[in-house]
Amino acid sequence: MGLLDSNEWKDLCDKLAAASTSLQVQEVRAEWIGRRGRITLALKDLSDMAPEKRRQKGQILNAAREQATRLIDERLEQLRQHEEDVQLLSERLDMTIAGVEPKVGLLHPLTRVRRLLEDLFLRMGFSLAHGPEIETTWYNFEALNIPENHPARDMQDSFFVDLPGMVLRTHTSPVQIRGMEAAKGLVPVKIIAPGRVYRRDDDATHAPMFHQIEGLVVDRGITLGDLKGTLMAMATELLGESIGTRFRPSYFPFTEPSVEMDVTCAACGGTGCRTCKGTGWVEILGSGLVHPVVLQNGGYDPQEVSGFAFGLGIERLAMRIFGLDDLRPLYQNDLEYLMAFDRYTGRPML
Amino acid sequence: MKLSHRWLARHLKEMPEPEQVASGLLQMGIEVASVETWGEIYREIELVEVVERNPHPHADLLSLVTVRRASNELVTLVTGADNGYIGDQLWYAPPGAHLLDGRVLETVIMRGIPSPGMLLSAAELGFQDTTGDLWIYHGELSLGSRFIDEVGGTDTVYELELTPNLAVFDQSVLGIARELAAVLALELTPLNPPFEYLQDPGVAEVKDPLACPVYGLSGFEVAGAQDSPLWMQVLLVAIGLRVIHPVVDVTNFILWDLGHPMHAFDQQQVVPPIEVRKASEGEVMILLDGSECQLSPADLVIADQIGPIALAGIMGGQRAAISAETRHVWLESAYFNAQGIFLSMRTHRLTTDAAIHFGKGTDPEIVPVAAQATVDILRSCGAVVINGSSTMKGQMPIHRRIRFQPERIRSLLGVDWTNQVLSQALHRLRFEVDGDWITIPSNRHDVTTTEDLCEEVARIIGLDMIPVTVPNSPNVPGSRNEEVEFQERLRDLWVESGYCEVVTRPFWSPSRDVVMMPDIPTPVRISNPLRAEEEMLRTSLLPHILEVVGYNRSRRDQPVAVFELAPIYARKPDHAEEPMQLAVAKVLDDYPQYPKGLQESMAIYQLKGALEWVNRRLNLGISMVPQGELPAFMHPGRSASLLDTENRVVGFLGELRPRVASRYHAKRIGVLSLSQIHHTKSAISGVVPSPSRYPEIVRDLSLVVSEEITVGTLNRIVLDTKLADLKSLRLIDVFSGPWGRSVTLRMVFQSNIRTLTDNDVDIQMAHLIEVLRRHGIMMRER
Ligand SMILES: [Zn+2]
Repeated sequence: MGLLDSNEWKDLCDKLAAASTSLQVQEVRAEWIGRRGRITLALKDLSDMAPEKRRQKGQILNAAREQATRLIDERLEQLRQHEEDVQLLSERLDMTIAGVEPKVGLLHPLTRVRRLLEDLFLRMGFSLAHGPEIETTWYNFEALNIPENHPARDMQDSFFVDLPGMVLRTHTSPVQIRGMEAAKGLVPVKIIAPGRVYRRDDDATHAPMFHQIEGLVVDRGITLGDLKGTLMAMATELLGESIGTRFRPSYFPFTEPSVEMDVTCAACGGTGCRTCKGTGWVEILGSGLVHPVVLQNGGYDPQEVSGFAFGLGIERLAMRIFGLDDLRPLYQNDLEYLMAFDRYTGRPML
Repeated sequence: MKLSHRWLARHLKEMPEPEQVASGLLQMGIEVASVETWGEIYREIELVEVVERNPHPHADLLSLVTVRRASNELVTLVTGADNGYIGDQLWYAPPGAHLLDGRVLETVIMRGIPSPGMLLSAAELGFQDTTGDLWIYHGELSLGSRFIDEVGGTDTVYELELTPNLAVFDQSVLGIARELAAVLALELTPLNPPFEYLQDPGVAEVKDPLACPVYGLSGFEVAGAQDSPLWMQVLLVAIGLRVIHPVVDVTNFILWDLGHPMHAFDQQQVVPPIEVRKASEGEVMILLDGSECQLSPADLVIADQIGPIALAGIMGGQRAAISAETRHVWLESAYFNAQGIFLSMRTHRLTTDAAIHFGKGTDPEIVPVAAQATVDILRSCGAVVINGSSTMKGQMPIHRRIRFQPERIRSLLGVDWTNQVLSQALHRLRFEVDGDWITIPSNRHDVTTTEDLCEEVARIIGLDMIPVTVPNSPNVPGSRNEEVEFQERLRDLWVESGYCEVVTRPFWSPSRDVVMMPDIPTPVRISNPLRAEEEMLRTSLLPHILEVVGYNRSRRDQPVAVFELAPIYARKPDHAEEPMQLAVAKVLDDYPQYPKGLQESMAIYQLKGALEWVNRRLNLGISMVPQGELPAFMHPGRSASLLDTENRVVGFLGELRPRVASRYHAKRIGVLSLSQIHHTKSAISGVVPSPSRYPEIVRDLSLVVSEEITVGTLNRIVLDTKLADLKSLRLIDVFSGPWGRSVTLRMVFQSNIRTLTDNDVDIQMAHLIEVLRRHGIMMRER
């Protein structure tokens, strides 16, 4: 047995290439470098040789053994990889099938809009206040400067209940009085009061139960200018820097002067369309300086302090934000509809 | 209120463009709900001349009328009209023209003869003319002229919405004209001079001067007036009123022109003197509309010596009503107390135009002006008006004066406008400043305080001119209270658990009951519900949620998992309570999906697990016990009562009986109802234990237990054994075979101070197995 010659190397390489399973590679390994392998045996034969020759030949044989081991391992790895691929491809899934989404629900859009508003006003320094839905006529009407037989009581067709002197509150404004009472004459009073309110109306844009947010600020020296500034800041935060606002005189028994705020119509961007009746503007809230009678009923002296109040409809705002033209589906609770509110609205808070 | 642009021009010396009108109204707080062009259809109606008239060959009552159009084209039409002979000029609507009622004219065959279009009567054009069937034209217009030219062109008609405060003084063309004159700096056309009442005795008496401070009554003989003048008809028709008879038309006109309702009585039917008095108890009258009105002393009436002839300021009575034969009239022009009229209007549900005006408050100073305007207009109709006796009772109220407080106006508005700017602004609205006092115009019943004046100043100068500021109080961040924060977190957790929040209306009726909820409070009833199935407020939330399930299941075979956190309503003797409830429902049925979910017989564990997780996350302090009172609609083998930390029942969780679930279109529905929702302030530690750095040893223990021993009991036995190093215990398998029920627990042992050996764990396991054996629980044979 002589040195490995080029023919022998070719023989090794050919056999490795011909091997198609790791088992066949193991056979090649046994043939060359196994216990009775050709190189192994050649190394054993060295003991009969002269020391000088043995050293020289030994180096060559060891190098050949290393080389052969490397070739065999490489081929083995190659084949194992292939065999794994074959195995894994047999587990193939149709990756075009829709994934299993995490089973999470969704908050109702009205809750999301309410929280958006609450958070916005909390940042502006307002605290949350709440009042009962079944309210006394005193808090709902008289204390708000709406005496019995006042024409304004007709503006809000009320639900009456079988408790004498009580109604389902027609607005969140009673919380103005309750909030002032709770503050016990201290200033500033700075509250918002979200909640359910009730009116005898039922059509595409009026629900018998809907949600409002009332705001009230009472302090020394509060002006109509402050009202404008606060509400414009709110509109900008809520609807974006580019939103236009305008104020119009209006009427509420519990504010004087009373104003309404319009914002540019989202549907047409202010050029006029069906949604805004061609005006380019959409009303979003009513407000005004707190009427002196209301301040008095809340325990404050109108000569000492002044205040402003505002009320806005959460449904109306939700319709604007989500581009809805009918609010009835919001209460039908068709899950297909409610889950359609799962897309990003451009407002991280929603 | 409808406002005609052309009518407005009668009160303004120079007329602004419609766009200016719109922006002026906006600034004054008057909403323009819509703007329409009136008269377009009159462009299609043309003037023609009759050149021939022959009998219809097949019909005695019809004629063939041939007319010449401006183009000299001849058209022959069939007509049943009595008038329209050669030389008469008529209004012709050719085929394609539109009529007021929406009809589009075409050529029709009448008894064998084609008739293209129509020759028109005044009524068909919306006007009144008493001279004959067809409206014969006598004016200067040339042949081919359009009817729109006859009525002075098209008009712009605004639909205005007035807030209640503006309705006090803006419900008339004059009112709007004054607002526009003020805001656009225009000059008003002066009003006509007042009527000179003669103060004749025996004509009228006012018994209740508080209810009727000013009462004018004037007698006339009216003759010869058949039709109202066309200019007035045009204005009335443009705002949608019907023209009827000059006396009626003129009162309608004055009502909308000056905001002053008037009334006319037939002198023949009246026994003077006329009295203005409160009705007596039980008095009855028949109103103009034929209805019977039961009067009470709260009502003010106009009465003669027989009885009431009008419900004052609201509606006349039938007895003294004007008729076609009326020649002598009593014309009433009065100023009533607004509150009284408003109350009567409401009591009798008679929202007439007169009542809407008087009920808001009118201008006493218009009383004699309106009376004279009526006479003037009737005379312009060609009527002979001969003044008879007349009288005016009462005194003109003196103008109200209030303090002028410019400093307060400035500080409320947040402006630095000078006293002069303020008084000039108010002057434009006819408020006159005189030193420290300001005089209020006679029709501004709405202005009594400085705050009211602020509004006037803001309106006239413009809200846009008020500088934008923010309150200068320190801006401390606001807060939600703890309870509200808790409720919001509770909503979030259910959403995170896969449940969709719904919002239901809290109206309810027992007729909607499918499940009978336990422990419901006395309901609050609604006195005036919108519909019978909403007659009360809910006393429990779960039935609403189940209706949501049913609604969705009836629409599609999809999973439903919903919740709501909302108040219920409990009636107490003199108040109501509104405690919060939580209701959750989940349809457990399998539904077509890939890959498959948890099998439906086990799916209730998902709802139970969600509650356990929420319970832990929010420290609700709730425990679940399978025994105890459960509502009858619940599955007796798959439900649990919910107890609070003091072992009071606060709700239940489990499956509905399948028979009940089927009412909501599902085989199995898991539900949860929970009241008394709050954080428990128990001493549970929030401290999270440090992780141990020593290895864990895991042992699975398979046991055979009898059916009576629940996994809960088993867990308790294991935990009560207090094995020194047992760190966690988890159920990993349960199944039943002929030999009983097999339960496999996975137990994890770990020490915080050393590495455990198998021997350490073996000793503890041996002890546990011995304890279990004493409870009759054996290791499962392999
Ligand atoms: Zn628009």
